[in-house]
Amino acid sequence: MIDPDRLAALIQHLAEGRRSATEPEAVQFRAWFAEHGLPSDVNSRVRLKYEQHVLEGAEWPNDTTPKEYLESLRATVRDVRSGIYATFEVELDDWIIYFVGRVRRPWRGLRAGQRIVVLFRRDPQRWITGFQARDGHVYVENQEGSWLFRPR
Amino acid sequence: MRERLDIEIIKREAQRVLTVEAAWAASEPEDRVAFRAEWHNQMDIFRHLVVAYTDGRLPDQDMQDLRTIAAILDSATPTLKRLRLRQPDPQILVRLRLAAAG
Repeated sequence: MIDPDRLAALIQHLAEGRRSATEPEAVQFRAWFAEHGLPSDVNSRVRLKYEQHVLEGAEWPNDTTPKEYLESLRATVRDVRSGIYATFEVELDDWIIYFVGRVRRPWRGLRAGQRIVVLFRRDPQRWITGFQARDGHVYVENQEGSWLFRPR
Repeated sequence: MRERLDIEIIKREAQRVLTVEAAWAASEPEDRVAFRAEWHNQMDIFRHLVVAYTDGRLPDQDMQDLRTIAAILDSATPTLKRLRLRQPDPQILVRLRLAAAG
């Protein structure tokens, strides 16, 4: 597994140069953020976002559990077809990483979006939020960043 | 059904923007980034609702509620600017305001 400092430096290097990640680099990003960026289990932040996007937002079916919500985000990060996008956030003086993946049938609520987006801070690699973007890739590309890895 | 839910949720979020500023500076930076990203998505949905409104696809109650949302967003514009949150198209707000007045 890649070292977190090296991971942060690599993302910065790619994002600043608006360069694409190689397949092996994308594999490393997915593995790191899926295992270490997302919480290993349901915690207070997962519950908060679950209430917002599942119970209130109806983006996922209303019988989805907090654990299932969390694991749908993890599956999105891991999915080799998911895109990886970076945008600079002035307030943090840091890059925000978006994993952008398909909404599988069991994850489609009454207000499902075209894509699931899972956001992390680059350094430290903290999970920020995960929700379904109604306009999918159009939403992501309006964030004024660039693709590190284009969705397949 | 979906558009009714969209309206209820966007109305709630628009009202929340008016109160969120007081706690904004004290909140975690990641929470501010999350709010900004989620709000951007809400504004995409608002735009879809306006298209449905323009096409005459919304029932009367939803049209009335959408005009209410537009009025809330209009009054929230200074807050949206200060918090660097995406603003709706001002021309859309004017159009809905005029429709409410007419």
